Amino acid sequence: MSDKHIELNHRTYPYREGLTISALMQENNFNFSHIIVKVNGALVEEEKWTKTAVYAGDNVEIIHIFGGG
Amino acid sequence: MVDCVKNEYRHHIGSHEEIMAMKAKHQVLATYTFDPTVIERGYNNRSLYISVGGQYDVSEQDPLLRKTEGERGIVIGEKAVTDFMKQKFTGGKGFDLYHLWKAVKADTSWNAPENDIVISPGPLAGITQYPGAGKSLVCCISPTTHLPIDSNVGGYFGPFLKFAGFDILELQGQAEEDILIYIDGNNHTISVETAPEEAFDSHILGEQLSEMYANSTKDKENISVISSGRAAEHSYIGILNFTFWDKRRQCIRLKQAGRGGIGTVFRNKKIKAVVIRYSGVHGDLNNPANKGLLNAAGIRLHKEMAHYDTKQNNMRKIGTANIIEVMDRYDLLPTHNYQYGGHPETPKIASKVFIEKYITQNVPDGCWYGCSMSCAKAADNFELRTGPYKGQKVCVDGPEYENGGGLGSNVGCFDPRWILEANFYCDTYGVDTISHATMTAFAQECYQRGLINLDDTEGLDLRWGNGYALNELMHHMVAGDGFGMIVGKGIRHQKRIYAERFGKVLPEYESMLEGRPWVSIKEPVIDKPIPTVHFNPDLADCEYLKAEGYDDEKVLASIKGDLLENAGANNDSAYIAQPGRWSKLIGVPTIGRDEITAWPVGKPYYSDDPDCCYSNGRPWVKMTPEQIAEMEEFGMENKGLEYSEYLMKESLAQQGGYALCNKGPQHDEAWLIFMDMVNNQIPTFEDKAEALHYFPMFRTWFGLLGLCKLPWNDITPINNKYEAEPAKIPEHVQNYFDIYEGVIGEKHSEASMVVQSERVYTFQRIFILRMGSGQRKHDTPPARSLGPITVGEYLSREERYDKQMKEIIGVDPTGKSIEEKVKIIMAYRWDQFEQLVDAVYKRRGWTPNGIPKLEKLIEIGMDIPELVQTVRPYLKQEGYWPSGEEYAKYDE
Ligand code: SF4
Repeated sequence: MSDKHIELNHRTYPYREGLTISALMQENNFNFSHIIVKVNGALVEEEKWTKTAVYAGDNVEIIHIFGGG
Repeated sequence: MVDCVKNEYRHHIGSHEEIMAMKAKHQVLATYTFDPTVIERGYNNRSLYISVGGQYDVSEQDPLLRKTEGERGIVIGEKAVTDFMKQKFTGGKGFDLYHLWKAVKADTSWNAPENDIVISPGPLAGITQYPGAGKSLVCCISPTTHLPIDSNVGGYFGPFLKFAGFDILELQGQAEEDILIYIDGNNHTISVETAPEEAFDSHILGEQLSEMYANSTKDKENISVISSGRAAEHSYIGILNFTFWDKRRQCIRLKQAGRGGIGTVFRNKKIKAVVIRYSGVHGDLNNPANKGLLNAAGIRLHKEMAHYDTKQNNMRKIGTANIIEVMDRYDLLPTHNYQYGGHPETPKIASKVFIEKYITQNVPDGCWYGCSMSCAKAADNFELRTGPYKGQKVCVDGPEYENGGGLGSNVGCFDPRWILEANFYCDTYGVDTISHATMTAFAQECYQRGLINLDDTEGLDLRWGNGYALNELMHHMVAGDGFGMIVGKGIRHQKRIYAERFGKVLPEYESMLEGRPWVSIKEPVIDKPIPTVHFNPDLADCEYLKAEGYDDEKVLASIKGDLLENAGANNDSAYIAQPGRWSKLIGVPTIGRDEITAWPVGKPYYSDDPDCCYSNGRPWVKMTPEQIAEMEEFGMENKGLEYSEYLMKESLAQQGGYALCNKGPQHDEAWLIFMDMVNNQIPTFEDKAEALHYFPMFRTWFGLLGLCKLPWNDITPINNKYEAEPAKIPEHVQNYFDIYEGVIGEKHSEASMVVQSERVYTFQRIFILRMGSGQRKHDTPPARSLGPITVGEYLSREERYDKQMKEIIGVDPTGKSIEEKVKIIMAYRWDQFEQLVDAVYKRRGWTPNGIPKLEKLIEIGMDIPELVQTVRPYLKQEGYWPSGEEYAKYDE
């Protein structure tokens, strides 16, 4: 068990080897159709989510764009 | 072209000849001729005032510039829309509240003749270049909140009113008999006429009046009708339906001003309908200052809709119902009276089901010209299984998300057919879907906790998901039948009635009931799928029942018929039981309304309460204080209005968004759940307070201008991801400033927009203060809106709550009972809520008690005498009245 972490949406989240954006989204059930992803402030385009690795200490923002009814 | 379903209910509508014969029965009570106007940059600069009769004080109101007086106290006239009004109130909801303030006094009740229904489309309404520009805002004093309510609505009426020559329609007074108002926007005439024979239900009445006032079938697209429906007679949740003519379906469609019981006020005035005709719509009728800006913004949005809607929200296929499954996945779909945020059966009511099985596809369903979002979807040829139109195929306007979340999951009904059935009847009866769903869910939970029983519900088995009984409940409500009538007056009313009447008889008073000659229901009489009916033979022996015309064989046969027809239709077991009937008991005394408070708990009594709308002959019994407190925790209302259909308990910002809403908990002021709970973009109290300032102001702005909010954020530009604040959708915000400038001719910015809204928002806060609300205590939500109040709710998110307790509250949950953990979590959440309220009030420039400060009024230019007078005593009492020379003039 690693004690390393990332920041996910400004909350501490456990890091593990091989973590990707897609894996993070799956684990957190983030399956909304309209999501913006930023890692350390830089936008990650949707087609790169499966291959983009996340490293310990990264600041990941998975922003759902939905302003409600 | 969609198959026209109207032939199915043509006999209700009547032939052209029959409809013209109805018209011949009208007696014209007043007529008025007005001068044509030319709209200048969005404004006609005048309003239309109609009093339908009755006596009341008009001394505070703006003067009528011209008027005619008809028979029976009817007055038709015009008022000026002044520069002061435009500067301070902009239009739409702002104009409505301005006139309503002048029409009513602090103690005006919803059913007083001076209560004013004010309808205003706003200065941008009626443009056809940009999607979503046909909205009207409607305000009046609400029967459920006794406060000003506002509700927005599509359909063609608002733009037609404006093109006819008026920025506002005010309806005041009370008629002696059913009347209708006809506004001929091309011939510049208005008439008020009796309307004795037309139907009440909106899907029939809208057709009859379109036929009656159109010159031809094609001309029906120039007609719009406002009506309510039968529900308004006996419930406090009547809506206004605004029609538009659907030329592809060749029938009228209905859009609703749904919240707060405006339809109930409309019918209380005995107005059956307002009909308008306007022919000649085109995009430039607002006389815009810069058409190029309008066109460019419109083209940008139309392109987005064409390219991205199917990849984003599917608004053109299913409308707002696209989010049913999204809400379920994110634990936000209100389920079983907001206990849970989702359910394993949600896939049965997912948007895909409605798209594939019910909703007609590839029809441009815009509720005003030029709306390429076209979300006003419909289920055609839908066959009804209950009620007066049982067996007929109809066009159901919807479902919208609220139908799925409210009439579906929140009442535990995961059958799309029951949802559509309730959707149809809500519309045609004129019932607010949201309030109806939430207050039904409340009654269901009371029933399932044993606070009320089958005797109290008159035989309706209110288990979750009993679609048949729930639709029956609505039919009872509309007919003014006992228990349905109690439910139809809202949760606040239900809580009072249940507390006074539906308690349990304590053992020491049991003897008062001895020898009772009634049939009491302990279990549902009928269970699915039992083809033979267990019928209580005692029933036939009851003299009372026979005297009431009950015939056991007849009742049995009709129940059997329904049962057989509906067997297998729903997922739950029970349908409807035979109501119990009581004869009056000699040993039970009758007491006055003012004696109820002191009457002992658990002791039977009768009341001479004139408000007694429910009488199956059973004596009343008061509940215990503990039972009353229990209902307060899960009765999902605030300020008397029922919550709308989103689960808010895991988002502090949304808890505030609901509870601090001036009119009561409706999400159209703020929807912050994703920003807060999922994205965690507003982690501090100050961040949340900022969001609870900006978003309510932005959303208020739509209601001032006559715009639909959906094209703002139900489609997103592809480059939005590069924006610094993507949640605001800045490109669309700029579009709005462009179309504002395009019509009005003035540049607009975020800062000027916020001030424009703040003026009206703050005015509304002071208005509710004037009417007896608007202080901190009135912004207190029910406990369930903040978190888990039962073991079941805690267990449904145990991991999350345990984690929160350990990591955020700093308490180790190990070894604690669930009841203890519920207490700890709820104490923490109440504290968080109070801190949020402090932060929001501060950001809005209000005192810790929620009173707008004088400095704020001066800052936004709303230091007008009536407002200052209203806040002054509170500010002085609370020590917030400012000192200094510059404030001396406000102290007079
Ligand atoms: S988005 Fe929907 S509700 Fe709004 S104007 Fe268009 S059709 Fe009407």
